[in-house]
Amino acid sequence: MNVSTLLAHRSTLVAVVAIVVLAIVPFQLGPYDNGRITIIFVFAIAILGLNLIAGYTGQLSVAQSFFLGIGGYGSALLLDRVGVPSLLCIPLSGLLCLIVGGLIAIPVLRLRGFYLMVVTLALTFLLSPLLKRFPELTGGAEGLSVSTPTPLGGLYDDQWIYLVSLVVAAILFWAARNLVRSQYGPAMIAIREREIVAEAVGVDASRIKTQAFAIASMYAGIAGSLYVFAIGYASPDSFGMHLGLLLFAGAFIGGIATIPGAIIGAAFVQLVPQYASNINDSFTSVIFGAAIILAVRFFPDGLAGLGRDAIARFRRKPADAPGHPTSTIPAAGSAVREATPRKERASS
Amino acid sequence: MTLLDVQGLSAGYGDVGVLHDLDFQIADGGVVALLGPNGAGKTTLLKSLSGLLSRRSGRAELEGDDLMSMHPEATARHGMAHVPEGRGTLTDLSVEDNLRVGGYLRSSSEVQETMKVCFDYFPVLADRRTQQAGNLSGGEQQMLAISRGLMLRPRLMLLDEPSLGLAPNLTRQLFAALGQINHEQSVAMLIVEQNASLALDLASTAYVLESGRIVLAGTADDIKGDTSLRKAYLGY
Amino acid sequence: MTDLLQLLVSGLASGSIYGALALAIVFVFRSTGVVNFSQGELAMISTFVTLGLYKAGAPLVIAIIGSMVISFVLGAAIERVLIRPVQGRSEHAPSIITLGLFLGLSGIAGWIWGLDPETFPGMFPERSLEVGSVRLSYTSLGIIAVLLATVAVLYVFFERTRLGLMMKAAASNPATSRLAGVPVSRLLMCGWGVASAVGALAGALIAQSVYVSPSMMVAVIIYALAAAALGGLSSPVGAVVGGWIIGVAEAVVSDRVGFIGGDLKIVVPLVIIFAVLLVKPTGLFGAKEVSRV
Repeated sequence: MNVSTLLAHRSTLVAVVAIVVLAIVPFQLGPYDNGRITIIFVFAIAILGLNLIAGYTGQLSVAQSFFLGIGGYGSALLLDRVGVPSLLCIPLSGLLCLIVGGLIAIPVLRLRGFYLMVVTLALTFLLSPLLKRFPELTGGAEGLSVSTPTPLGGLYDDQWIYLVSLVVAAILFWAARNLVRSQYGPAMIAIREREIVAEAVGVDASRIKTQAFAIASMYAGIAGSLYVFAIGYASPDSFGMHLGLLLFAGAFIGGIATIPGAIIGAAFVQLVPQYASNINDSFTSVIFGAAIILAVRFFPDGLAGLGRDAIARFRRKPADAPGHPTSTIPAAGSAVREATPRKERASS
Repeated sequence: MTLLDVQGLSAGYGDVGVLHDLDFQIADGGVVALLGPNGAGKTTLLKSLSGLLSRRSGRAELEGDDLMSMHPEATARHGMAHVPEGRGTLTDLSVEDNLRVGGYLRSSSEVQETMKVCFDYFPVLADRRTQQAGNLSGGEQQMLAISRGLMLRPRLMLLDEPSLGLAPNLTRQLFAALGQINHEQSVAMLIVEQNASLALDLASTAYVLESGRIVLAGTADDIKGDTSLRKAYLGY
Repeated sequence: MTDLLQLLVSGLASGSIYGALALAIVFVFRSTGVVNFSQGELAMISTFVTLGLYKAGAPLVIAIIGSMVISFVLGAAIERVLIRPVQGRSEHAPSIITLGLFLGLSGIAGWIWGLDPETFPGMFPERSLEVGSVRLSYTSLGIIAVLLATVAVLYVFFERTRLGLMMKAAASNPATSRLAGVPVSRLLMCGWGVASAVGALAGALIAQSVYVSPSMMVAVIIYALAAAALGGLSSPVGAVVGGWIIGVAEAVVSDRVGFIGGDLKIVVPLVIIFAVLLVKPTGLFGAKEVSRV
């Protein structure tokens, strides 16, 4: 067994232990804390999707909250209007967002860089007035209340939704890890680093970008579905620009092109506002703004990258465990710098 | 008289050393050809002289002023015009505006005067003065880049592969113009060039760089005259 | 149903507001190559500063000029301290920093000034001009006039002055500009400074129709970004025309298209920006953009 398979097994082991521990937690805590941790799982799923499209593929979208909203309302309506069983609502919302995201991606991803950021930012403004425009369906400004799924085996509501979210998150993290380790991962990174070059070596950039955007939207849709089940209602203003920017910030803080970073970022997005609001209502924005700036400037791989480096230094091993390619923010890296030794060698 | 005096220059990127302990001189008004294979460090040498590359050590003096501590803005003030590889024009500005930017350090009457000089050397630029630089042909862009450097009224021009991507007859014209500029404007030149025979015709001295070290130095005539040297180092 | 001409004028007035902020965005992009998502929030801070100076007893004009000076310093400091260290790291790093500033500045404003809306003094007489059936308020006309004057000044600055030319050069190719002796880093700071000063002016105009609060720019910034993008990001004239197109389209659509109404008018800039960028990716007035290999 070589080193990399050992490492792979080690991370699997860590993940299994973590899941087991997390599965015991809801039986030790009260409904309030269980609810808070459930939302961390939910945000982690959404940020993981963002990491795939923004971190790995380099397409900076701020619109993750838009798809969270679509998934959330989709689930609420499927459950209460159509009568679909709650557990089935979750994948159906994901499917809905996969389709909507894919359709939106086709025109949107023709835009690059800044234009993409503007259009996705505008999308986050669009959702709330759009929902309020159809009050008979969406409940207008009041929103919709969502009946909590019936728990299995005598669990309390909060324990049940906690465990469902944990299982769904575990599956989606496993899927994302495999996606990044497949031949898809390097293709996405190639698009981020140099799209024209990627296309020159046979990567179908527009197809992969569209697929990555659709997958990211699906992750958000599933997260949105779990979110409304956990909160118990869907409100049009929960999924606006503010949440979009917080998730974007969370992705950078955790590590935009990492898998474990999504959990750290989600914990940040869920926990920090609660403590910050003790100081001042506006303090959350200050912390998140500062965190984005610090992350971009000082630790482009986020807190996950810092932790990885620390572990690597502790073990005196290189910090390149498979599946977590060392990366910087999108389109960064030596390839675009003005002069690099590699370029120098080729051209001087 | 020595214009540029370089002693023990080393430079590189990050931890990677590219140039190792170079010594060479350029005489006032002289033309030096810098030859050698791709990756030898020629572009790096120009960049470390003009200040675009700050990871460097050793001594390099332009008329007694220490270049090693200077930013590009300062080397420009001291009369060095670096015309980078790949032309380095301001593609979204007009030809005339490019030249004005080149004359940033000069008074407006000097700018007018020098612009006329540039248009004398390269009349095609006068015809295209209001066009965007990005719309010029490769040869015209190279002429513009050289003129942009000339606007500084430099003592020393660093020219990085002026013939890159140009047709042979255009290259010959360009080198003829460079010879004229050297002669009439008393500008010394350090020319990095793939076309060794053309560069040796223009230059009085030549250095051959390999893997960041000077492996051959001599007068252009000596090198041109010695077939075995040419074959060994320049491949022709 | 309002008279079409009336709609046109009110559309031009609100379009001028978007255009004013878009001018600041264009200025930063033109002089530093960065899209500043926090331009609106910076202008909001400037507006609070203007209001503070006014409340302290300064005449309104002096308060605005004073705020423009303070904003110049603030903008230059942000460029120096926050933007420059990441510039050149990647194409998007500075823009992501400005998204962080977007959040951070709104938080700081809320912290300092609180969330309650405040009224801003009127800059223009509260009367209207009657032309046939159309009522033109002096405020609308004044906003349009100030904007036109600003764009004229900026146009002359970029096209006719040496400093303007050097700023364009510094943004277009920093390395080549430095090799010509142009003090690029000082010009980049200057670019952010001037843009913030323009933003302070835009803030005063916007505050003619919006209460002053930390969230006053949140809706406007999308329209301004759309206007700037529509105009091709680097053209001051384009920014203003882009603002007008969006303002007029918004006014007409929300009045005449029942489904959109006043609620869904955010669709208007979204659709326009999409349509234009898909047909002409460099905007209406943009220069040729070459993909970098």
